[in-house]
Amino acid sequence: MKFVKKLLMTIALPVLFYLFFLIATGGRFASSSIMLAILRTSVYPCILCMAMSMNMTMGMWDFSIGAVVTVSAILGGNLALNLGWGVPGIALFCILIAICVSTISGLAYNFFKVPSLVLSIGLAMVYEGLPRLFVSGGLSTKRAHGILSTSPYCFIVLAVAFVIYFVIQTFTVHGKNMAVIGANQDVAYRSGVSLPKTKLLSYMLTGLFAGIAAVIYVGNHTSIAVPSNLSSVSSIFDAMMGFFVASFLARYCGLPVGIIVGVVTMRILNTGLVSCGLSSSVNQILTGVFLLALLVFSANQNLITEIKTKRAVAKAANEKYSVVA
Amino acid sequence: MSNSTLKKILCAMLAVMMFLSIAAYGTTAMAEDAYPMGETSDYVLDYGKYADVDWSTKPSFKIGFSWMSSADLLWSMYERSVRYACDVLHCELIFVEWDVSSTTFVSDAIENLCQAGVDGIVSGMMDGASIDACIRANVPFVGALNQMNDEMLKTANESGLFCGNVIDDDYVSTYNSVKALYEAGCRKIAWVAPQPGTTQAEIRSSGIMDALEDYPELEVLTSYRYSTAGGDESLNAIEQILCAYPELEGLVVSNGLDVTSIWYNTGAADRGVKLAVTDLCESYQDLFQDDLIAYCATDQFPSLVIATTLLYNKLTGHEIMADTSVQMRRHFLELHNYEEMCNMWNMSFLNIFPMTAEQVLDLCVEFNPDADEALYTQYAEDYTIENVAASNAHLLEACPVKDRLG
Repeated sequence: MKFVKKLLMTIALPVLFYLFFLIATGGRFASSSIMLAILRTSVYPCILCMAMSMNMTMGMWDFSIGAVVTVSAILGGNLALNLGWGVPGIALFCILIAICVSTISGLAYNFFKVPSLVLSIGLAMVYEGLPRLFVSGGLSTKRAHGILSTSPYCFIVLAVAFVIYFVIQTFTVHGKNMAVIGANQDVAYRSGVSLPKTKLLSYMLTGLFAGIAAVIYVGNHTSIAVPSNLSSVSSIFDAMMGFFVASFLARYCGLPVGIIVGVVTMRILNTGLVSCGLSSSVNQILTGVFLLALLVFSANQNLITEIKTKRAVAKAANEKYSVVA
Repeated sequence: MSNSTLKKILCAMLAVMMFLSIAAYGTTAMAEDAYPMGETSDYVLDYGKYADVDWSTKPSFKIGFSWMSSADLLWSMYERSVRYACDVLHCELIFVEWDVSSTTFVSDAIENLCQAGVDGIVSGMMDGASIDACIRANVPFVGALNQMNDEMLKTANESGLFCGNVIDDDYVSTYNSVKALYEAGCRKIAWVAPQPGTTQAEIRSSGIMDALEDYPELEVLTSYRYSTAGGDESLNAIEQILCAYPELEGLVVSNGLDVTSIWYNTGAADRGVKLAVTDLCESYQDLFQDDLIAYCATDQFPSLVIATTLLYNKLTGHEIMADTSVQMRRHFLELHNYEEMCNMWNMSFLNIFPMTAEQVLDLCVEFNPDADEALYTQYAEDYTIENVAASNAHLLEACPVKDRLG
């Protein structure tokens, strides 16, 4: 029964949104091609969300992930193409470069003791400019090089990333350490968890998933220009919103499944709003309102329980100690 | 995790970095088709009837130009275009890259150019502060590519230093996009454009709106205005439109977006959905080959060359435009099929500029006393891919044809 309740709570949001837009679009939303488009466009933000969650579960913001994805896509893609290694080379080099770059972020965080939010913005600017030192253009690929971003291969990539993420979060000591640090850093420290090591490893794992996301990113774009002016930061907001929804759903299904459901939910919302013919501005407003409502509800959920508990205690006390004249 | 394990991981990372360095060392680090920033544009200079000009008797100037950094081949061509004009005119180009981290990057760059002692400035984006900077420094200036509003035109005009503003006909390009879809047989279409906010976005959108009024047989299934703040919102929206409307026959995109992968991934290519777009993307070759592009407007680059000739005329004491408050409009190059796209690409990759050196000098009174505003207008009207390919035919024939991606 408890399992059924958790399952229903997990799928309630995406199902409700789907049904809403099904009615709002007069049945157009029922098309299988739309569902496939939703799932396909969810792959990249899902993997990016997994990358972000490594640090965000410990309360660390990392706005440089978009830049990490771009730099690994451009440099890794150029390396692979120039060596003639094709798709396997793109995957290998993107992941390796992303891990290296993220490790540098982790080392910088531990060494400089700067808040992660500030550090990540500075590093984002550095990483955005980095490709220009090595390639004057960005990356240009052929359509064949993007096979991993096409259906069904993108889902296989997502499945592999999900399994790795699930194992790390659920079955490894590092996953537990991250959760403990996220719950209470002081308690974790006094319990013997090494904060610098855990955070460095989190950055490295962030790089792993950012590299996988970069492989999908290369496939989605046959031409990638070198970003500037922190334009890479805006590319992570989809994933960030997915993480907020995932955090809300985590109590029912755990964070790994919550990420998938959360990102798909946001994509259903965005796709539905586009299908309704609403512009980007309205889309952003409604998405923001939904997210705010969810966060307010999540933050105040215990309030209702507290009020009910207090009333029950008061009622019991009144019944016990009332004097019958 | 123990310290020794972490150290092993870090050593492994160092080994990986060394491996990447060795791999990169053995390759060509620069993309084959990227433009290396240099002192010349490397374009072929075909002087034609001006081949025997004695350049020692002709004036030479320092011309300033500022633009965004060259992130890809198409983007780098803006700077190369002005450099080409300077090469033709035997002038020196002073190039200042925009520092886009600053909110006043355009005027900052113009200030830098003025302080560098340039004789004149070509600007791809004029704003009020840039105009003031040029007026304070008493430096002649000319605008290109972007519309100027009435207030800016009035201020610039009154300064006596303004040579004019050369813009591409954004309205005509999007109007012709809709027209091309209609002529290709599409009747159920959609359109995608940036949110209103810039003059260019509004003008391009108005072209679409007016064309839809003139072609009432077209049924607009949906439209979408996307934010230009960054991210993949526009591409996701196009993917969703292509999936949500299987009956869609054509899509108008008012700004060049990298939609090639989406076209094939969503099955739009199999359904034969046509694209009509302003601004060329490098990836459109596949779509052209499969006859999926009904219309593509491109090649804003000659606007910069023409603007440079207006500036050169001003610096040599010749005023071309009777009224510089009237913005000079020129057409985009309109590509309709794979052959036309190949001509365009081959010229780009063979370093053949659409305007020959002879045509550039024809617009300068110093070389052609008959150069006047009517000649500029005639040139703008005659600017088509057929005429450009014809005027460069001898250069195209002399060089091997090269497909862009080999």
